[in-house]
Amino acid sequence: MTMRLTSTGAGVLDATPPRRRGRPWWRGPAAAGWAFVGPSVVLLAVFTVYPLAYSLWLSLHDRHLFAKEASFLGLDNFARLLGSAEFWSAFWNGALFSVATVALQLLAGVVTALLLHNRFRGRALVRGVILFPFVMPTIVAVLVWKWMLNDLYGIVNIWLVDAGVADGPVLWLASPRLAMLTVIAINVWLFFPFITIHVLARLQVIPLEVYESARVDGAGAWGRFRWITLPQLRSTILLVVLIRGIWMFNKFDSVWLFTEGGPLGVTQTLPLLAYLKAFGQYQLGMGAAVASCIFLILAGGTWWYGRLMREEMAA
Amino acid sequence: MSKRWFMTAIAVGLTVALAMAGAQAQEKVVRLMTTETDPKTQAALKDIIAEFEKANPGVRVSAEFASWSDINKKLVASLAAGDPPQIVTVHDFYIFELASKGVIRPVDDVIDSIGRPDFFPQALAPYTREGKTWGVPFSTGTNVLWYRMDLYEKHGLKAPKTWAEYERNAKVLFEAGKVGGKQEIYGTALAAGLNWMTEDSVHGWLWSNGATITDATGRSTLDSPEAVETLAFLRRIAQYAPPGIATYAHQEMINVYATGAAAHTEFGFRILNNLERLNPKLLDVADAVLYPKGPGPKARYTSHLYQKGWAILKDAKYQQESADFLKFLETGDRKIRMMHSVPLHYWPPRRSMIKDPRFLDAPLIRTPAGQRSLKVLAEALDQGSFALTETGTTVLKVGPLLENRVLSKALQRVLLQNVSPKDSLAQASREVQDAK
Amino acid sequence: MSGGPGERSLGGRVVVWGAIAVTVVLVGFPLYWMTVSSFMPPSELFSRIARLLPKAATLQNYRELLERTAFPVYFRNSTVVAVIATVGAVVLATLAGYGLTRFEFPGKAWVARSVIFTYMFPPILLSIPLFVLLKQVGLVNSLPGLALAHMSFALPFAMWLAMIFFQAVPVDLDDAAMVDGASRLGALCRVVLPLALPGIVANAVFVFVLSWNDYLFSVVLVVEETRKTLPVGVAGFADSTSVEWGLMMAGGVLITLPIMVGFAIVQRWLIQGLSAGAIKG
Repeated sequence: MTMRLTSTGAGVLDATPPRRRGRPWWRGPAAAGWAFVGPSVVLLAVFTVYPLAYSLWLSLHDRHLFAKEASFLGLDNFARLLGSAEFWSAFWNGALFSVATVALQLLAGVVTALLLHNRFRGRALVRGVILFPFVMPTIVAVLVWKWMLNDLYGIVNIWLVDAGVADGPVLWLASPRLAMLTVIAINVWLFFPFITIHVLARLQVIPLEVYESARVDGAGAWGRFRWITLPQLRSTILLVVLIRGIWMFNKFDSVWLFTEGGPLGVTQTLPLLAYLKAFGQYQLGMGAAVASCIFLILAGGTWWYGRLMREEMAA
Repeated sequence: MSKRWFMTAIAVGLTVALAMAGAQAQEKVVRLMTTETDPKTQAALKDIIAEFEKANPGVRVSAEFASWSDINKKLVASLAAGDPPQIVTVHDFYIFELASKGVIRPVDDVIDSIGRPDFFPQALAPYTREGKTWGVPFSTGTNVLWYRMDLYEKHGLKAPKTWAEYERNAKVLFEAGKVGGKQEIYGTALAAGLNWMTEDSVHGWLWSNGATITDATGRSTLDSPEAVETLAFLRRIAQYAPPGIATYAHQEMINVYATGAAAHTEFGFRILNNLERLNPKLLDVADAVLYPKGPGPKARYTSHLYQKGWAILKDAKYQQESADFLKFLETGDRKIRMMHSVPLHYWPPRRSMIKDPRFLDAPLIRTPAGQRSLKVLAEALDQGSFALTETGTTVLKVGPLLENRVLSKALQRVLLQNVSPKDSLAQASREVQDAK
Repeated sequence: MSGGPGERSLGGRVVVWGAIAVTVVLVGFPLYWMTVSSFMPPSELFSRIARLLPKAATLQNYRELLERTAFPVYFRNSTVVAVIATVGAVVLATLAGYGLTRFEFPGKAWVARSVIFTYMFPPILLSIPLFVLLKQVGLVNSLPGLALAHMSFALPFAMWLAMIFFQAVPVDLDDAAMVDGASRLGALCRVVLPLALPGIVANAVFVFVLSWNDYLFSVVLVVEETRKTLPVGVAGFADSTSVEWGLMMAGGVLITLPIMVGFAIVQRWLIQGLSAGAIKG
């Protein structure tokens, strides 16, 4: 029997016989499928679909954080949002943040994966260190970075001043010009291991013969990377970029815990705006509206990306 | 096929078991949600709760401690789920938001049971509207200007009573603090982050020059010449402060003084407790004055006061038990123990308490620093103001304005974007006018 | 440079090793600094002098952390929640992944594609309706309830991963097992699972990390002191009355260290598990 890889899994010998008259539906293959998938779907339906629907409902209402009543507004919240400078500023900040972090995470992830793909002694330990930012709780990471970047006591500033590189402490998080760059850099540090892991996994199944024959044909290191490694990685990269893009656009704690959107709103992204509206300004309906906008933007973005991906894969 | 049913049965069984695991026992639970998270306060509260539970079998009191930013989320979630906590800590600048939305109920009954004449009227006023009092005041807080007696002595400086004096002292100490090209000690510290510390600080400085956010009718006075003068003054002061002040909140204001990195700071009397822990040597040389007077015509020597209290939620169960617990907590030896958990920072607005020798007998209060502080505290309580009653009448819209950080943003525009104080306050003034 | 065996020049090897060393330093320095700071007394923490090692190392921060705070309780709570969430999510995701790759049924494509939608809504606003939900099933303010919330948040990604690595296991193996008389479930357990085990480990790691690190849901869904998890507890140190940097660094070390050790142990399977799925890409 030859090995076949199919995506639907309809085997040649399906142990569950096809539907026959008189056979109850719960013994058919469809029921089997639903039995396996059912518990997950139920859990998701209850715990994610319901809260999502509730939040979407809220976005159509005016609801003070502590009030019990909510008055229907239709699309008023959205109209006001789309007309406010605050919303668009948060949108562009978020777009910049997502694009920059994902691009740099990709770069760092691929490079470290290539490095870690080599065999050397102590590789497991090195892997552990390089992958550790991803397993730290965000709050701990924030505390450590805030400590290191502290204007008076942080080791980074002490070194920079002692070495004469800077006249005084650098305002990593306090300066409107630097704050976004700092937050982007730290978010790259936090999440690039996610990409490293996936790329590394992919690298390990590229057959060595492919490289061998390329080398025999005279391809150099860059050539091998460009024409063998990269195409092999393409599907993995496309997928991790999508999921990281969604997660970075929705990032809350690793931005808010550093700057709370400041100084002067330069690091205020859409998730932070949603939080500010709901819990800072007590407008739960408006906060839900911002959140719904995020949802729509990401849904639209994913649909467009999916089309792009299908074209890429077909090419 | 039977295996499939077996699995489904297990899944269902697990769900049911989990649900039953969450079933609550049958007893009365009074939940108290508070932002007073100092470990000593937590310990004192837990002891008091244990005593109350012993005297009241069948009642359990559960204290929940959360930070400022988290308590809103938790409260909202509980309200939405229909099971709010019974008691919550409130402050004078947002108590009326909770009251107007029907979240809390008037607590005149609790105040009367404790003894209304015992409360200083100035403490009840920030919680009273239309004849009803919405919170039980438990501590009046202050912000004062701390300085270093040793550094002052060394450079022949005197405690500042005016802006000019403060500015000069900060400058002298800033320049003296520069050792070998490195700034060992900064002249002062100034909060400029987007947080309540900055709001309170800027608000206090406005008052010290006779400026206010609104007039008694709620019309904006934030663009007055005295206010502009205040922001210009703060910009000058900022040059003697550490560079990262745009992120400073109350923790940094405490830290920078307690570690000896700044010669001045603004905060309440909690700082003495921090000095005791971090740097006891500084305890001997720490002293404070109220915010010095500016040059404006109505300038005054003042302090920013805030009123902490307890409120009872309207829709919570076990109202009687909650009221009983509050009375228990706020009277007798228990009250003294709560106040002693952070001495001098917690100041009970009660006539009987502040003269009580047991109350004045805390170790920290007995130190020279404590004794000095008692005098400053008395002055602050006498001459300070509360946020919403800056003009003498309660202006409700000041609360939400402060929560939207109108003053912090104005200061940040001046410090970070080089906007002129006049333009920055013009923008802030529009915000005040637009607020309802 | 890409994984070719042995034939690299000395210069090439030096470049690679140098790059690895630089990466380790850049990525690992915060870990190093957190550890060093945790052993420093306040006088050194605030000395504003650059030192790579503490001059007078002390265990004071750790003592305070373990004795004066509820850190051990937080640690236990986080572990309980993470274990429940991991077991639950992995079991459900494995079943779902198997079902999605082995059967045809109506609505299947819709399920497979819509899992990703749950991640498009900012979790911060989901916490309130989640709280209401948990209240209604009596699980609010409880560790199993929090685990359930974590499970549901991790599930879409776990299902996606499970689908990928089950697709790599040939269906013919199932068929062979069933020809020999096994039921579907038996085929899954006896034949497919052992092959997909590294992938299951990968799933377990992702869910565990997600649960261990969660702050947003934990802070809203669990209010009682004795049930707080680590991120909430540590954030509490940072917030209240003063900045206890030494204490927080010690807490950070104790939170991160076990995770790193565990991660180092399982990472071999983690990468192996992901590469099984990588055949299909």
